[in-house]
Amino acid sequence: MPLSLAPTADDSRTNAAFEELMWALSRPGVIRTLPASGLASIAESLLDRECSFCVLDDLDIQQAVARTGARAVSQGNADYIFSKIDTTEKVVALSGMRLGTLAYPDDAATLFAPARLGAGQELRLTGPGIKTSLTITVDRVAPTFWEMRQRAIRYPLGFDVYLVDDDRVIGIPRSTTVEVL
Amino acid sequence: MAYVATRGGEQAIEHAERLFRSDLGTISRDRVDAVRKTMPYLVDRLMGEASLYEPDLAALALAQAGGDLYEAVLLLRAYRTTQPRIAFAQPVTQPDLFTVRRISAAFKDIPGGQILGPTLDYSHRLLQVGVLMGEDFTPEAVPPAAQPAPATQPSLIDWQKAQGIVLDHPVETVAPEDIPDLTREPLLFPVPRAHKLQSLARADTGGTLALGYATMRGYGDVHPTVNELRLAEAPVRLRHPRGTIFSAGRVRVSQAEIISKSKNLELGFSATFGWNEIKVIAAATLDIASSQPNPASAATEEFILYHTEPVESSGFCIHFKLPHYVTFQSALDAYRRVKADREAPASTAVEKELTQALQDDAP
Amino acid sequence: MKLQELTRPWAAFNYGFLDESAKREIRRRILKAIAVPGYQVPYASREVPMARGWGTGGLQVSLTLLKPTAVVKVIDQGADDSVNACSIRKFFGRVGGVIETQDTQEATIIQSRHRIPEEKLRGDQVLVLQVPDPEPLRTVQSDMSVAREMHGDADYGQLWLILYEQLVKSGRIMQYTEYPSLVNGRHVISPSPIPRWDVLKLNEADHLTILSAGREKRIYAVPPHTRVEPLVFDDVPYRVEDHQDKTCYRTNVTGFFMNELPQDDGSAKFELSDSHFGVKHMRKAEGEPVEIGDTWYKNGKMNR
Repeated sequence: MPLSLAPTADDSRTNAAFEELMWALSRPGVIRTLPASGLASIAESLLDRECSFCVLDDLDIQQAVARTGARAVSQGNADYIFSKIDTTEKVVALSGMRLGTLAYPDDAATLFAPARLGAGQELRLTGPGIKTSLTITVDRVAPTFWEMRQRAIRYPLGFDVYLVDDDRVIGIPRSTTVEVL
Repeated sequence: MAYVATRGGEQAIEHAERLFRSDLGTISRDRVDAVRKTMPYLVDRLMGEASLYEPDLAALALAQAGGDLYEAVLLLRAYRTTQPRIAFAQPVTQPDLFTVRRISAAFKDIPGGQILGPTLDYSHRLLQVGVLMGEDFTPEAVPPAAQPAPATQPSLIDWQKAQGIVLDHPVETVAPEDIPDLTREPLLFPVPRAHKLQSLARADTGGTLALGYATMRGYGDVHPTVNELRLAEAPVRLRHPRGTIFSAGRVRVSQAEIISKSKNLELGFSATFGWNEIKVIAAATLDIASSQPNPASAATEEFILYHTEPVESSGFCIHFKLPHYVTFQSALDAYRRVKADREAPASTAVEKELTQALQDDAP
Repeated sequence: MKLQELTRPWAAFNYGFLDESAKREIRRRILKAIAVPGYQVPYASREVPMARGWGTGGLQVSLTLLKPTAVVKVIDQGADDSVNACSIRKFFGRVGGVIETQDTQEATIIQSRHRIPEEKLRGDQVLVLQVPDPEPLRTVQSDMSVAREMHGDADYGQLWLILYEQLVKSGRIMQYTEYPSLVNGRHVISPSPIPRWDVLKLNEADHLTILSAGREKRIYAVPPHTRVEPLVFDDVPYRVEDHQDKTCYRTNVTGFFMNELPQDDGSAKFELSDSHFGVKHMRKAEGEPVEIGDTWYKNGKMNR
């Protein structure tokens, strides 16, 4: 049987991007390095015709994500949302994100947001994936985002967020408690 | 190394596979062609259960599995997994079908006519033992009809619906790309009707018959009549990215409409790849049975759809051949403990407490 | 867009067997499973070239994680050489060209049926457990939609009732494997048919565990450092199998989960269930420079 034993360059890139996202979510707040910078490499590893997305205010990313074949929908219907969260207005615009249902908490949105990691606001994270607690710093995230997140999450209902800084990424699942210091 | 980890597991499975394959001998293109040409109904049944219409691949799967149908379904389904879904066919309605057989038990005659087509229904099932003595069994010639039957037929149920005598399922207008696809997403309950019909379309023929037969025998309040049974070839029409619709060929399909006479006249439906009458009749009966307000326990959607899945049911059945000695060891531990407890007087405080509590509870 | 753009050059099979769209779906589901530890995420679970019930769920997760630098260990009942483990390992080699190992410490991905290795897993390792029945509520509620609502409401009272009934009837908790366990204080899981001995290894572990049921089409996960608590009553402690004082006849090692080997004379011998752990002990005894990793159990007791 002719089997391909070597992955193509695309295979390797999407596999590596996913692995970083997997570890990022498994260890909330710990910085992982993506194989390529930006949100497009995340999109190609996760999205296709079988899911929907919403990009707020960024034409380049809009086009990059649309190339995966995923359907562009409003943010209240989207599986994956790509948006900045550096101002209160942008945070408010995200208030309709899907949070899942008690029977299907996975039917919730995932947010990918650009941010600066390693500077700015101090946050203390606790929860699954964190041994005791972890203090991190993030910038370009409006303080109101953390308030909105706390209000939205009624575990297991809630949304999961990745903060992406060039090729660096951290994951903050809904199971993580975030304390703004 | 005194203790070699490989105690022959790898070699054993390799040789066991060789034994099986050497019994079958060389699989050649000729053998595959022979299977395809001589056993079209088996190939059809397989393509239906595999939900992959490709007679050559199906014949290859049968040849490779030596006729073990469940192995062949798995081979085809696993191959199907590796194929991307690149387009959606245009929906097919009954008047589109190139029909070779179409009967109704509900009426003596129907608009468009009853067409018996190819069937053994009224034949005498005599084994032609002469073949084993060297006398070929050659079918008698089919005399051409005075007038060829029309290639397509109207829908009988449309006539009944127009009369307002059959309750129809509410029509859901869904864009083709939004039709939920069972091969791309899991079955979740309550099921969308599309998933239910898709699941029945690729259900195990034998399993569908067993549960359908249970329903027919009276487990559930369904009294079936075959409203229409069709064997046909369905055109596969695709939309080219430029917008034109083109034909990509035809597939053999069967479909059955069953009407239950128990309360109202309710319609059940089933269709599948290939010509497989038993399956569509049983499946359409199960479609109605499972749509009842309080279905019999063997006719609920969960029960039917889970237990007629050929790959899942056959795989799980044979998985019991796998070693289970860790679970068995763990169970052994629990049962030994109970035995020891019964033989020895209660010793720990907890057990004494428990024994006391039990005595207190005793009537 | 052209039809051609949707296709790719013909190849009989993809790297890792699953095509990209199947992998992407599993990736999306795994992330959801990690985000809500212990919650069963439904997934399509496409057919793979092995029969259902033979590890197809674990297989799909491992195939999705596969890369040529992955170091894969496959065990069944604790043994690397068990027939089905061999078959799965061979498949990974055929479709992924991965590095195969039997050493728990060398592996990056460990796919297992019914056991967790005795050596502690590290933070960079993924344990993939094959799951026959993911639903801990199946015994009390066969209707899946109702069971799902019960999970939604954290309505687990009936599971306690079953354990209590066992106590009353047998004087013991009789649940042997698939011991219902509460994850992150919210979702009860079936930890797959691992013995009670192994359930404790999931609690606050360093590694990531992904549990996948192919036939039943559910993925769930226990992320690192997550609470996993077997359901117990305050006054009846959780008890693992009485193997702490059993000694392996091959290695002379005591205090780990054993296979019982019935003998002609009616007695029984014991051997380490974790086969490569046994191999390492034998090699070490023969003077080879073998490094045996830190173990979860020490002197037959779980190290807390």
